Amino acid sequence: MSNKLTKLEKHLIKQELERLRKEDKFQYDFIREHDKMYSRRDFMGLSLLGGYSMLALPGILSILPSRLNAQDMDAKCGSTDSNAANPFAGNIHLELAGGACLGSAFIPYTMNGGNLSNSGYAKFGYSPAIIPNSDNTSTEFGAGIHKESSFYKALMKTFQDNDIDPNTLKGKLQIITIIARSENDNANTESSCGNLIREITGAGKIADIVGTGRTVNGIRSRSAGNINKYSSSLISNNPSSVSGLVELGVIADRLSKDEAEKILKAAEKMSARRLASFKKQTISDQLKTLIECGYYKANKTVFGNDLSTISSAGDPIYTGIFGAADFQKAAITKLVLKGNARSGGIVLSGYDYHNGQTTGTTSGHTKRFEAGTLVAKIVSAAVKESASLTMQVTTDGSASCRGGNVTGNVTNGILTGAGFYANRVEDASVGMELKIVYHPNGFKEEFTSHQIGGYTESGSINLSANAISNNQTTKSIAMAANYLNMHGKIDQLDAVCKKLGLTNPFSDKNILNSVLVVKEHA
Amino acid sequence: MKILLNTLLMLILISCMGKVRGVQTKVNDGFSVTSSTTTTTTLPEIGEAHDPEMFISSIGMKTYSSLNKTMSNLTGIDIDNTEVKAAFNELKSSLPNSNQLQKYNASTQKAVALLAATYCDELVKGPAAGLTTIVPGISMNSLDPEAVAEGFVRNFWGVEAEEFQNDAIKEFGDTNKEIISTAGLTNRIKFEKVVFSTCLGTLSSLPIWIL
Repeated sequence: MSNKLTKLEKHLIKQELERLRKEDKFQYDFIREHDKMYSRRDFMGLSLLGGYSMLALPGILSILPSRLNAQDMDAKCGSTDSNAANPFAGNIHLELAGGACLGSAFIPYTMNGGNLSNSGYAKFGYSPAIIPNSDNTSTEFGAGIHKESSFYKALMKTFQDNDIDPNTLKGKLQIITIIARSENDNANTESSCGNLIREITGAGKIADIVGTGRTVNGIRSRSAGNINKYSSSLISNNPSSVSGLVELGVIADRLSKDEAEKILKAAEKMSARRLASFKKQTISDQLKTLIECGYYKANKTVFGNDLSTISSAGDPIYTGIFGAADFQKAAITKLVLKGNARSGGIVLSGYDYHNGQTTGTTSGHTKRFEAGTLVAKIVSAAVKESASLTMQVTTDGSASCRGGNVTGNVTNGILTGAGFYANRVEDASVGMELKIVYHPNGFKEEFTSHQIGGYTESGSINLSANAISNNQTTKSIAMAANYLNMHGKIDQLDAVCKKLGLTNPFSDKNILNSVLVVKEHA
Repeated sequence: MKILLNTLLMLILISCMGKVRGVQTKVNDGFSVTSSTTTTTTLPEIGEAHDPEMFISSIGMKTYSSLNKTMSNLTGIDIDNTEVKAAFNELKSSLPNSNQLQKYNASTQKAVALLAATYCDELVKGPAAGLTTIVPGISMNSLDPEAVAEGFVRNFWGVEAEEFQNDAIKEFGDTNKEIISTAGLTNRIKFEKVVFSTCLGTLSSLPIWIL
């Protein structure tokens, strides 16, 4: 490229100087006092000339094609069609707030898959009468789960209620236990991988992250990585929280859809023009694209989608599984499974159940029945939608048992927890989380393990088992690594971490392999 | 001596200017829109040495509360107006909660548009005095969409470049002429549509929420 300025560039420089003279005396005086400028680079250095195009001056834009056509914008910003196929598994983070003891359902093993001592099992509630063995343990969904536990009974009952034969889920539904310590209050712990999933999948067709909480992440715990990069939309039990994502609200009272589209497109066009006028030094191309796409997608989602394809209200799959009353969880599930949001967060409260009760609504058995029911409902929705799904079930801290009452609890007409001790003590050393994956086509290989990390024989987390045993941020990255592996994209982990300001703790293959259990889907 | 020291200080500042660039920040929290200039260090260009996905910006977006105040000041509608308050509380979680542009997305824009629409709706419903402050001489019987657009653009986007404002007036004026070209609309309906949509278009656009 010749260093000599073109006639148009000279004209642009003159116009920009004139603009500065009128609007920015400080910059204008500085330029006037600057050494004489000769080259294109000199002028670009002083922001008198744009780097790649003539975007610096809004007036000039009117003679240039200012907008890409709809097809180009779709390619640039991603699809907003709520019915388009979703190439990624929807991700839902279920947070059991308070400190649940999931080891009172899923069998805890040592690092090598060995059994705990009887006193070790007792910490998780297993009395001598029900010590885990091959007869009372089910492995049909991967991780060992005690058949007398309320969680297992909730899974089976819910699948039955929804006409899903558990045998048809074999190999497709895989539950993995994550043995990692979390503290008793994880509000400031990076135990969610929501941001990482969003980074992997790109923007949702309508929203990035949706959740039950009015927080950055939609739940109580934080997402690993730059927490301000993505925001969440609150989904309440009121259907308007979903319809609000795509409806015009007060605009519809004043203008027809066609009229609203015209004026909002005019606003989109003028905003894009103003955006283009910012210099490259002021705002990066990536951010320009982000904002341009924000306007484009906001208008596209409002004017291009039918609410019935987005909301769970009136959708027989979701009302059938969740019931009409539980709109919130049904709505989050549908938004995520359809790819309209990339990650969903649901908080269930009341899991601070170290009260020693074996019966009643606050007992550990009842609460684990509730959690198991919700997991099975979400999985049932994925099955009926033929959609792939990943879930994280986390909690803050845990609760252990110290002998005592072994009376079972009747929940929803089902005897659960017979032979289990009650949870009596807040105890993070018995912590356990779950990673649940479902793919309608199953997986290319059999899972070789369904537990990451392990316990000592005496029933405490082995904190030196691996990189995630005592580090929630690293654990969240490991969950994202498994998500990537499920999609055959594990080689992208480093780049994904970098984008969120994280250092990939699994650059060593051996360390990575110690936390990678999910196989690529078929 | 004092003059000499001041001159020296200015010279030092000017000598440093090769590494800083003036960036305009706009304050349009009221009808009297003011402009000030601050300096920021030159931000690196994205090149091979940088993460291509890195987001760089020396501008930001207004947070939910300053956006609410801006819209209130510009339209003259009280921030405690019942409808505005209800809309703000409902939309707050989707409006920006930090100045970082990285968090901007379609949900943010939708929420900005819906909050703007509530203010504009109240402006249309409210006393005529509020509207005539923005569009002096506005008349239901001799409605000129371009004059309405001029009132809103000049008042709401007063700090923007003259040429950009002129283009916007034409854009919103033409759009509104199209909107009210439907047969059978009464003068009142035409008036309300033009005022509401021009207000919505200008108040939900980037010049309002950028910082």
